Amino acid sequence: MKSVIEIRNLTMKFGELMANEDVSFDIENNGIVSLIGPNGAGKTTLFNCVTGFYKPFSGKVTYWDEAGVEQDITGRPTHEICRKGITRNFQIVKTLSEMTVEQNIMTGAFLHTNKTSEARDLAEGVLRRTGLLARKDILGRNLTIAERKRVEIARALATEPRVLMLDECMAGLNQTEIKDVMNLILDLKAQGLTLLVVEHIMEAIMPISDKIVVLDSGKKIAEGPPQEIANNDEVIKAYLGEKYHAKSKKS
Amino acid sequence: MVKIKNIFKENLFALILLALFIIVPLAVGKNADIHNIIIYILIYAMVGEGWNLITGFAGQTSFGHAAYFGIGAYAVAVLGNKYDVVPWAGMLAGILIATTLAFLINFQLFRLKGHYFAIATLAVAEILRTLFSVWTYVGSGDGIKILFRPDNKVLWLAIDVRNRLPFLYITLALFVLVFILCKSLENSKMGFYWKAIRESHEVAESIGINPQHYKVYAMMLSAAIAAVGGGLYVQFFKYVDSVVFSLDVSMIFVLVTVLGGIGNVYGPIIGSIIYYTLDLSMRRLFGGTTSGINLIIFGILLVIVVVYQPRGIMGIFDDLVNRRRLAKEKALQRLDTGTPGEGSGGKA
Repeated sequence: MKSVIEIRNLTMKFGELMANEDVSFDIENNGIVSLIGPNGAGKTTLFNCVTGFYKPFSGKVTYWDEAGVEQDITGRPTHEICRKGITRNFQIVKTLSEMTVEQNIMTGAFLHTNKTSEARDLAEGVLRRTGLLARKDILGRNLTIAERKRVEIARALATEPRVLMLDECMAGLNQTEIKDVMNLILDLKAQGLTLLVVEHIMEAIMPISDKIVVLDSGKKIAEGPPQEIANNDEVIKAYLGEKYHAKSKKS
Repeated sequence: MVKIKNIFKENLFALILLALFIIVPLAVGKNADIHNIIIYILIYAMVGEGWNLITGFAGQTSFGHAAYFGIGAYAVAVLGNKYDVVPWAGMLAGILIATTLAFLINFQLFRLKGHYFAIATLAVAEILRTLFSVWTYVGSGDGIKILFRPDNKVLWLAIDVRNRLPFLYITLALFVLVFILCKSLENSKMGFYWKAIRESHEVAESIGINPQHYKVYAMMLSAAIAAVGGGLYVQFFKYVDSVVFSLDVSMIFVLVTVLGGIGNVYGPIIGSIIYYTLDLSMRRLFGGTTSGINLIIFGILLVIVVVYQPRGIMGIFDDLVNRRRLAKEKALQRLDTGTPGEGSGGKA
């Protein structure tokens, strides 16, 4: 499979703190790549480096657009990266609270049109795809957390991205809501999107991912298909700690 | 036909207001006092609409709109007084200068955010005030006056003390144009992007908006509208000096918009009507003996609005309408219990 994004030797420092150290991996076309790791492993930082919110200290992010043209997007501004086809959402939901669900999504849809009526039509399609049609006239601030997360995804989708980057879009949801989001992610993949997902909930991430990348203290410690990761010593150590890992070996 | 009816229905409130603004000046006869008040209302509401674009929609607080207002006023006065240029052309020059200045200054200024940006806008107006108070070419401390042209009143936008109606209606026409511009901007791509920037810079950037550009567009449009207001103001007063750049003037635009409803196209006009009607009646009541009490009352009013309904009087109005609509919907749902209401959604 051909890659859409290639991350090479990405390093990000905040003062003396190494948030990401020499991280390299590929995001394959039309695949679901999941980024996991304990709290503070540098997942969101990596995310921010790829989407242009942070300028990486060193390393390179390469993107191949629809026509297959190679582009260096390291440290480019976020809005420029979005226009190239990479859209993200936020771990801390940022629904536009004074706008209705439909207007939230229309704001995203305006990327490809200047006409309000066209943006409304595009938004309607997205509302349908994400199952939000019945809620389209509700103000952003009156939504539940699950709906807000869904609106975030819908707004990102309205920009018609090739690569959708989801930062903890399942955190704080209940079991049924998580199921809904999992199905939505699989639907999006079926529609031809490439996804990079940052997530804590293993039971949600394991069944849908094509590849998992594990970060710990800013470094990549493992990369591979879900089954391989689940049995990886390094990963278990990072999650459970040295002590419990040792015990599990003894028994 | 249906379409025309819909347009009529959607803008009913605006049309009622417009009808009032056409009828009331005629109904009061030759009452110059009321005509003056209406002209004031329209000029400040117009600049309020401009201020609303940058602060209400794009969310960038400006405390220095007097800068663009003053430039509009000075452009008309200087060109008219020194070069015999008609006020209409003067206004056009004012718009050009104000938008150019807005572009040059704010392209850099928008690197500041929040309070820092607000303080910087204030500084811009203060710099202009100081400059114009010592610049002899524009009359320095004495200011500059508009010469009366009895020959062609419409062309020279001259205000006749005995009959203010033509000037009033020209001001009204310009206000209506500005209002339509702002209302269509609100429902355009520009309006959506401004609101996204107001609510979150990060979201705006993540969906492909360059906040810097859109904020500069808002400021330039806003400055152009303020310059038109300034041009009308100087024709009305026939005189302008550097006091036009002071914070007091900037604050009038803020006050009428916040009072009426920030981020709402009806806000500035409603706020302006209330402000000047109260101002007039209070001056009548307390004039002479306790002058200044009207300022105290406005202060209290502003505090009440900001604390209880930050969306201003239009916010109170909207809430009432929404509550009635909800009650109506609930009553309808109760009527046809046979069909269950729309599902709560959120499920694929």
